[in-house]
Amino acid sequence: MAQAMLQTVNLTKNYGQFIALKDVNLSVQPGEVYGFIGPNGAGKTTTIRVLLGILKATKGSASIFGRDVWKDAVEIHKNVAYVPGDVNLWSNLTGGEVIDLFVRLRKGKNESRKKELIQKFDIDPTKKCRTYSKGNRQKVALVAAFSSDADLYILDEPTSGLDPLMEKVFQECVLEVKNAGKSVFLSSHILQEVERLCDKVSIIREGRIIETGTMAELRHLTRTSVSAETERPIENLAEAPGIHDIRKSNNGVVFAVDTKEINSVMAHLTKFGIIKLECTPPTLEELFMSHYENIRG
Amino acid sequence: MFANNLTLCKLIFRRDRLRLPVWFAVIASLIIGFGAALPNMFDTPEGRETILIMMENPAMIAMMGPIYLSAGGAFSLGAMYSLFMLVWSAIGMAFMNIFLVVRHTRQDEELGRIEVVRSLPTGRLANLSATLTAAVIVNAAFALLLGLGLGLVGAEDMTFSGAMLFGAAMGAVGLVFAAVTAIFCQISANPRTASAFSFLFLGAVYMLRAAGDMRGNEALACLSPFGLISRTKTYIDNEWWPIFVLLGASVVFSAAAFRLCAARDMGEGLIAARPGRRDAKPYLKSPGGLAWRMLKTSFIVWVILMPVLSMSYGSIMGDIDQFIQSADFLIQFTGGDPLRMIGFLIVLMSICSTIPVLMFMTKARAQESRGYAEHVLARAASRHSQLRGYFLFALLASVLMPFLNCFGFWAASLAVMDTPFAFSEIFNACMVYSPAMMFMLGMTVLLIGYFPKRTNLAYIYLGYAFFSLYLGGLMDLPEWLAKLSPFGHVPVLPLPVGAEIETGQIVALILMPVLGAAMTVLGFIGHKNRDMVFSQ
Repeated sequence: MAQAMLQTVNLTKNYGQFIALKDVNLSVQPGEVYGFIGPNGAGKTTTIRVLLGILKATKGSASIFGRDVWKDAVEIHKNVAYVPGDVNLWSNLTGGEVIDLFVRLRKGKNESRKKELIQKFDIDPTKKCRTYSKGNRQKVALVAAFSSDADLYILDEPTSGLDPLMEKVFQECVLEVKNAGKSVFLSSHILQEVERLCDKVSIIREGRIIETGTMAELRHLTRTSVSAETERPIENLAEAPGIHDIRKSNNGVVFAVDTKEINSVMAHLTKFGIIKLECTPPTLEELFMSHYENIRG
Repeated sequence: MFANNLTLCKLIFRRDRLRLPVWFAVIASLIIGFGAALPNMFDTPEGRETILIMMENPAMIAMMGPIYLSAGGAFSLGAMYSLFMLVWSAIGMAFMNIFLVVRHTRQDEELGRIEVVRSLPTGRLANLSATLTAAVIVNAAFALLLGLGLGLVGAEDMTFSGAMLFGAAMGAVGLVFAAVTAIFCQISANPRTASAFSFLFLGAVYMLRAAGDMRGNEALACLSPFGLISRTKTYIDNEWWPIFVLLGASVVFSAAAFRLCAARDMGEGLIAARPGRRDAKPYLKSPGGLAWRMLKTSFIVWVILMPVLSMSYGSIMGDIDQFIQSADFLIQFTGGDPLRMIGFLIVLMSICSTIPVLMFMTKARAQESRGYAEHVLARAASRHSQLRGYFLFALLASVLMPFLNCFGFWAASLAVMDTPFAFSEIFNACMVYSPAMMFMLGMTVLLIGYFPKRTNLAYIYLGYAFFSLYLGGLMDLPEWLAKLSPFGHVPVLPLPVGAEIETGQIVALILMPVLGAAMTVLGFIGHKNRDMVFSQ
């Protein structure tokens, strides 16, 4: 296997008594889009700040391109592009000035790419940053990140302020750099976004990695919520494999089903004459509520 | 149009329940405090005559206003008080009103609060009228309380009716500025431009008054609110007509503000915001370039401000002998030696010019706590480079600011003294504080490196230096209190005849930059090895 682009071994970060990260192990390979998901406050941003050499690890090691993230931060950052989760920008600089500054700080320069992205993300670079909304500030950071020619893109919840149209532009950008053979480390709390883009995923909760694998390997985590209305009452639903949380609703039932069992459940339902059927993917919160709360409790 | 404006007005007082009392405390302590202190400071007509001689020149009249004398040509305490205090206290009131109105109109609008308010059953002019109502109440309360307070402390010729007129003048000037600011808040598209226009207006009417008073052009001076309040001749003739002119003007300006407010869309100004730069200038490509971009405006302001300040302080050098004889406390303080007075002024200006040194350095910490530094450090920039830019500008300031002081004092001495100081004398007297500033700078870097959340201790230490020297001189405090700050170790120049610099002071002058450099190195190491600390 080639050298990992990003690797952490038993990474631990304490704030006094408080354990923010505990034995975090991650490994991002070249050309890989790596999802890093977890609920708010799980330690995603802390991990990323350690990876960027902004916070110092208490124990364990972290390396990017095989170099120590703390000691060689400057060298590493020449080939890293980063978008923070909470984008605070200098209120008295314009968006255009900020983008230029960010690109130049990495010594990269790509005017045409910058112009193209400004247009794609639809921002006015002549406005002062204080007048931008959260989404627009995020777009400024995204334009700066994607107009630089990096080997590793570290993105911390980059779509939390974007509308669906812009999310799509963002996903195109990620796929573009992936096709160019670059690696992406994408933190998120939106499961579908990670499902759509990532090759591999780690799930973090309360500072610990609780699950790592390819999307296929994690399929057992992804349940589908089903709301069904049938001609005759559904019999023996509880006995079907992979069914959880059955509740009666006005005219039918609502339940969750493990995605891998969905075929057999559908076959079961058709016997009772389906009138109406709605399937929705679960949110991360639902996933945590159902799966991990159970394990814990 | 005005629905629910009283509810909004109450909200303003609720939100400013701390801010307004603080403003009152500051303004009242200056106005009433000086009113109480003045009779003790200048208790003899002879002492006041000396001051009068000093004030009777165009520069002083331009700064303070025209001099009015009591019947019989005496420079009474009241006349002296109103000359010193009327215009400058009015400037304080203007500041308060500009901040008040911008905060509750344009700033709330930019923050999106007005949008919420307007979605409720409130009138279109409700917020502006609530703000102006609040301004009326605040200014009326200030007028009454300042008048009463001043009336209670005044000496015999500072009459109660004069004090009430003084208070009324403060309130009336405040209202004019509230109304004018309200107009600018409608014209400009964001709070910064609105404040800038308002302060520009303040500066313009001050200059107008200065020009009018200097040339004895009554009409010109009376175009300015500051000129008008001088015409109240408080404590002398107690004229009330300028108060009514000011109140009338504020009604007219308020009406104009309402008209403009009703005519515009929310979030818009009558002048559209100027678009900013599409691309960054070439220098904005490194942490150092960013530091310059961040410090540029305040750097320029300080470079202009320092020599002007030291020149205006230095202008008393012309009549320095009479000045220190004019009051007992000055004689006691200086031992009757004018050189000590000049040395003291230079100390004060030096401590004042340490403020930009600390400001430029602590800006680095502000960038960190607000999360801006994260962007820089996440790119190919080292910890050192992030701090270095701010440090170099602060270091430059620690040499440049004393030099600008020197320039100001020297220019003043050339202008007002019969035998002006040699340039080298003033140069030495001012530059001798540079090592102490470097020490302060080193300490600030050390704080940033190891106690990032306590960086403001540097300002507290500077404040201590100021008070230990200032009060130490006035109140005969033990000498070691002043020695606790680096400024207490600096020899006060120019030396009186026959005196010499102590060896200890020379050692201190060498040691301070060395210690400063050591603390700087330590601070940089600490900064490199610690976590970034976000919002305090």
